[in-house]
Amino acid sequence: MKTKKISMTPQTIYNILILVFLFWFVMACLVLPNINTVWSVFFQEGAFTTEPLRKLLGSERAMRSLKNSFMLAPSLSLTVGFVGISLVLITEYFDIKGAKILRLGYMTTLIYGGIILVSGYKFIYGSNGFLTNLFARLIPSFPTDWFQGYWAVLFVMTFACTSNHMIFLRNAMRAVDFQTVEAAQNMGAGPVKILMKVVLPVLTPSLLAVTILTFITGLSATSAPLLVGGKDFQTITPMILSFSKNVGSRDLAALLALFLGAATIILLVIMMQIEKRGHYMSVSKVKTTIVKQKIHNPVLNILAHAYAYILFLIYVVPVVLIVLFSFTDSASIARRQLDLSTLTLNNYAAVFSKATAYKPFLVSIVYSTLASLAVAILVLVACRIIQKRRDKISTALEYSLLIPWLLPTTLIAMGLITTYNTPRFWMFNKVLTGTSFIMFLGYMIIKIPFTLRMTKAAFFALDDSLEDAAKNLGAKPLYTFFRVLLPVVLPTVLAIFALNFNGLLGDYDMSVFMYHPLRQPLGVYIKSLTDSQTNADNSALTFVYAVLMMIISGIVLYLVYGRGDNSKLGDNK
Amino acid sequence: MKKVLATTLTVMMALNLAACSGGSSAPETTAAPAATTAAETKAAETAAADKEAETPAAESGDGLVQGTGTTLTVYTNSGSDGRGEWLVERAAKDGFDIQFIEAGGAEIQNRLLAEKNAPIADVVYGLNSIMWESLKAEDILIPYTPVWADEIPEGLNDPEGYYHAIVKQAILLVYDENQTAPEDAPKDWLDLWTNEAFDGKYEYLTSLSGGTVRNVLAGILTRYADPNGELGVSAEGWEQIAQYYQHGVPAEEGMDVYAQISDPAKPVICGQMWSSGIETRDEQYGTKTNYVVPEVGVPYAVEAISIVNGTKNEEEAQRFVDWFGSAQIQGEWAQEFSTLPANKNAVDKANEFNQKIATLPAQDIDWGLVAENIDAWCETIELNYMQ
Repeated sequence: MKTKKISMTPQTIYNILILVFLFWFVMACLVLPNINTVWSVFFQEGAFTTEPLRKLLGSERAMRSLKNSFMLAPSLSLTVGFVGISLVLITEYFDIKGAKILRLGYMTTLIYGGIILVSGYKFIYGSNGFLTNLFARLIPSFPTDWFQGYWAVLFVMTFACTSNHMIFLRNAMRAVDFQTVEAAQNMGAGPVKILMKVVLPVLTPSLLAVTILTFITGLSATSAPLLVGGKDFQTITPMILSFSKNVGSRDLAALLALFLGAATIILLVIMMQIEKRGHYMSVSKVKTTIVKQKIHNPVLNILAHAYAYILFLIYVVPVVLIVLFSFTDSASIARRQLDLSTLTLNNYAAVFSKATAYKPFLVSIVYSTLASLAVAILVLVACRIIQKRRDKISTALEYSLLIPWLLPTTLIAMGLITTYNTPRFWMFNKVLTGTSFIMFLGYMIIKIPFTLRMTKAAFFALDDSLEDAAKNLGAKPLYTFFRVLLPVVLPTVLAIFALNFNGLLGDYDMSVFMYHPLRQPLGVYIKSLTDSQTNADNSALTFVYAVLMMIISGIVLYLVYGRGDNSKLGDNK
Repeated sequence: MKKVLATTLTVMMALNLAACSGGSSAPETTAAPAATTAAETKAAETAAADKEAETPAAESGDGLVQGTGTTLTVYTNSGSDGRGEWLVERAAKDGFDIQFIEAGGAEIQNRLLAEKNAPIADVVYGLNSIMWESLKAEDILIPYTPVWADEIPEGLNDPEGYYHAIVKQAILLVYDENQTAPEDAPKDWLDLWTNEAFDGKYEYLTSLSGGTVRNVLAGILTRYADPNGELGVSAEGWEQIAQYYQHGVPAEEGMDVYAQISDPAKPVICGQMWSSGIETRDEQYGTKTNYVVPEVGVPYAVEAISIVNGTKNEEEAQRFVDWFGSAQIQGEWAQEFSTLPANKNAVDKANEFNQKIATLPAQDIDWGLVAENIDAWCETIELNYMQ
């Protein structure tokens, strides 16, 4: 707001309208629905209570799980950071043969996750898995249940949680100005020094952002501990989820979630301070895209290639196995026996033989698209304010938008319904329950914090001089935003859109409470098929749907992100 | 400029907090206008539809109640395996227009609770006694005695008439006869932890939100009812629960219990199962299921049907309840989905397997005690007893 004049120009009115809208949104959608949930933790039957806290502190299991979560989060941040950076270096910085194929392999985590992903890993490392069987044959005394506990969880999640690195860190790497690298080379800097002193600093804002995300992912780990944690390494989120579904235990769920939330917020505050201090960005006006660096030492070169291809195998084999197993039945999946001669199309036939089978796909695609689009726009506007104002209002806005990170999805859904099942001033006296709108709102809300975090990183990496130049040339703020700034952050925004879309496509936790009777979304549909009372072949069906969703997610990623990539290159040249 | 805005925001914020605390205490009054208008329009539609339907009379050729075509929203946890589609089609033949919300029992219950002030559902069916009792206590249901109420065996319907039974499901401890001979199998749930032979050989669920697992727990805990004990259960009862979790194996997420009990390489030989899921699993896993019949009997999960408090289509909902629970429809339902009907006049339509299940002795469970405490029980178990 450097050039602000105190007069009611259309621009000022426009700014005020936006602020009013954001204020309304934050109050109506983020604060009000959740306030009661948080309130209920500390005040029950009208009096302040420490009962929930006492219950949790008295529970050995809760404390152990909490400790495990807090142990996993930092260690995961380190391991994922290491693997994530190496993936980006392999695909974008060093000259590794077959980088394109490698990249596709490393990006598989973008199209699947959760229980399915961990199941894929269990096919290889689990008690009857391929590697385990191989080891057991070589070493007779080999313990077949070796893949269990903290190390197993850390291993699976290290490779499962690099999606954000593959997108955001990679985008940042592509934005590195090669001239700076060349200049360093001319001044005689060695490859290691260039990497550490020239390249990595440019990646810092993105690296900070993805590290926060990794930390949060670690804190809220669910599937991996459930499947490979064993009795000794269970984490807190499964407990939160189960308490949040039990009406009488919601206070415990909220309290535990607040614990995690508080930890996240503390971390965020630290990161925000770091961000404010440093102003990391490449300063060149005319960027040249990076030229891949050859590794001249032959031994190192071979080692780098070996490392790259081992990573590739770790990433790709689980996906391949899931696809193959989706052509078998539940019994084979349970025994992890893959017999190529028994592969059958029956599962897929069963899924597609129903005339109504396509409808949930359609519903979810429409909802996910709209919600991801809306959240992208909302957050873009908010980020612009946060970046430009840097005052109390913008700080308040930023923290408010992070509220959905404080509570589990189920509780956010419940809060929304119980708040808007009666006409309220804040929702223009409209009742939302039973409408098609409420699920859209819910979808949007749960994706705000992630979107904000990543979009903000992109904004902070923006070159201020671009905007100044536009202004000096007489461009209006709106024009500057749409024609100058947006194109630069667009690849990131599109990537976030794709990730949000993929995340919402199979959503169950939010949908089940909000969906309209005529619009059953995919997540609910799959759950009802696989949970069904008399169908025993549910794990096979789970795999089939996982594969179908991988296909949709893959298409979306290609359409949105793959092409966004190219257009970005075009724009920058 | 900035200051002014900031002050305005602060004031609005303060106002809002006040509005918020006020809002939660008096939602009923504000809710009234919109609800009425919506209700009026719907009522008008219903009235119009009623007039059309009255002439063909409430009874048709096969003695079934006929619907008027008013759209009813039905909530259920029993709509999978094509049940939902079947019901929509079958109901349409008799003039009912049905749309569905289908989710797990706990989710349906939560959703109904959250929507209390503006209910979407007209009718709920499925669930189990525990959930029905809790919904009734929360004032979610309204009483209605269907025409078939006295065709249901004693003890299954709600004495106060809020819900009426449609389908019975036995909650069993199952094992595979190919792996375990009946004489080597446990004789009761308590055997699992009192008999060393079953140490580490049975599966328990780590998620306690399902209906089946809650029935299992109720079946164990209510044996030790003690008004002076913790949450109505004696210390001995809690000791049993502690043992249950100490000696069992936690279920693997996403893996059916049959994947465990059918596999000779896996130590687990038995686990909980609901009766109507057994036949298909035997086909799928090649197992030969046998089940434990304790002396105290087996818990029955009773699926029922009820009308939702606040429905705008109460009469049509009543007609639907009369129709769906009738011996004719429950018989067709049983043949189609191999269920065990609660309606005495429909039991003969059940298949051989279910006929046998029907003869199992029912465990005498104090459902009132269960409904009052089950949430607290599950919480305590998750906090203090599960491993």
